[in-house]
Amino acid sequence: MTQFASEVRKVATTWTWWVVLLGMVAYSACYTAFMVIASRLERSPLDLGSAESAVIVYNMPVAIAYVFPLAMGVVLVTQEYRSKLISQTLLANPSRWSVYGAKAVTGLAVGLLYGLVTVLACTGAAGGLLAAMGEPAYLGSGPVLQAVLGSVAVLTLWGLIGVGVGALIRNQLVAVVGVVVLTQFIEPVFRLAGTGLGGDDVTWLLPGGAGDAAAGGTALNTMTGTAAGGQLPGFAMLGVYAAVFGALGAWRFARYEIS
Amino acid sequence: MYEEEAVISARGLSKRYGSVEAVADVTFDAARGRVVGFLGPNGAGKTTTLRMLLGLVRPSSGQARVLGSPYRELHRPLRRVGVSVEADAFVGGRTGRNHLRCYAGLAGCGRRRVDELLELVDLRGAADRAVRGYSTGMKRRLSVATALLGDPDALILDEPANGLDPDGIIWLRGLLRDFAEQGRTVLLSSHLLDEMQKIVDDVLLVNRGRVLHAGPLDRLLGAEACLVRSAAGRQDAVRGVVEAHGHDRLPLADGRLWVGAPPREVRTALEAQEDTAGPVHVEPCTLESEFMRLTRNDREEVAL
Repeated sequence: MTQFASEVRKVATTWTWWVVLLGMVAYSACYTAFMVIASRLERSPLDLGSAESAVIVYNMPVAIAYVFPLAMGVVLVTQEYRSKLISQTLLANPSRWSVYGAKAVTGLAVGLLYGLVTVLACTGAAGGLLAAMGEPAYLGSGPVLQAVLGSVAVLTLWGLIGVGVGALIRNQLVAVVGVVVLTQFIEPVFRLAGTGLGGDDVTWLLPGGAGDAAAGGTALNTMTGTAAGGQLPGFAMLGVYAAVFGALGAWRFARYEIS
Repeated sequence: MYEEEAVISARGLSKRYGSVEAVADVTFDAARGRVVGFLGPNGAGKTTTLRMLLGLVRPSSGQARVLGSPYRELHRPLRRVGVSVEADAFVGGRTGRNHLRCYAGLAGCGRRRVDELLELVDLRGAADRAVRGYSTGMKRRLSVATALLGDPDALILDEPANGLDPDGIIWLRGLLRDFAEQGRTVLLSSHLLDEMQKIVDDVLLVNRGRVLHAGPLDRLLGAEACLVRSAAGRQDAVRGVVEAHGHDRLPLADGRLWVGAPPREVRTALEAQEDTAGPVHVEPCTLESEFMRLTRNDREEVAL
């Protein structure tokens, strides 16, 4: 508990956490607004005519912004190596499991906070814009509620995955650039290629795809023409990634020599 | 080595990195109430030894104990041992006060102690500024404050005096002396040998991973040796006189000659031969001269 308080204080005493949060909210909200407005264009392929199809505008945070809690989870670990404060941290608490555990919980907490704030902002933006344009917002409907809750859960898990990735890679620059390239470029390409090769029913097994599925399907599924898969299987799949990265990170973290 | 109970002790501590033996069979004790200077040239294995003492690096063999147990088994270690091994390790955007508060909980102390320490290390005015803007000396002082958070029984400091101005060095000297006078223990490394001679009780001198001397400073600077400074061009003549008396001798890098005999005896011998040896200054050994002599001797043995 003391270690967790220490980790939270470390996050809260730098600017990084809220600059990243601000970036995430602004980026997601702008895209959400863009999607809603674009859906009104005559030639738009978007049809928000039912609660199921409206989910796409509510799930923009998961579609485009999960890299933010992921990167923040990475930074939770790598910043200590970059600043060499890891020595100080391990001297204050020589139990590496306890330190890593506190970081993992902090990663989840950061993901949850980022998820809540961003999803609330985007839900407000989407619902508000739809209502302002005189369209049904489907805010109280089952599919939209499930999508919104799923989004928060997905973004929370990405925070933990980030902690695991950070512990595995340790070099902040490599890790952050790596997750951005992997999530924003390589995985989408794989998903597009998967569709082309007729494998669209397995692309939800990829981490980003699992997240999209767990949130109830996102714009990425629409764009790549891949099936979202079910929400629960998607969540389970992302949970497996979180468990695997979390465990590998713990294993690695416990073994580093600090030189 | 000492009769008192050891606060920090190493037994046969060794670390190999592949074929490189960074630390080989280091054994020493640091007792209660003593300031122990950990000396050696760069790359001698000091930092690796400190990291093994602190459980940050696993020894290839041997044991290290701090307050009776391996560091990693200490409960709430910050309350027992204060450490500053990465004096430049800070997150630039964090303030000095927040840096201390990040570790205060683990050291079992609150805001008041943080304020006290900021006062003690003279950072009160800069406490709420980002560490990025601190001078080297301010960072060192903040690092010392971090080490003192838990009011520990022992301090382990790696190069705490680097980057401190003369006032800062005098302040640190006073702080460490007070700390030791309260019966607590300090182990510190430094290259500032004149400064170390003023504050240490014991010396642990290592070179190429091995211990050259572990024991009281007085014993290292014992009265059985001295330094001879001679006029330019007379060094060989002086050496000849000393040699004729059968004393051990070793020329130092700064031109002085170390002689393994008491100062009075050497002075008498040289004054009797003033025609050849010229005017000489016979001085007691210093930590610097012993450092040069022992590390150089060590190198020559390798060359043979």
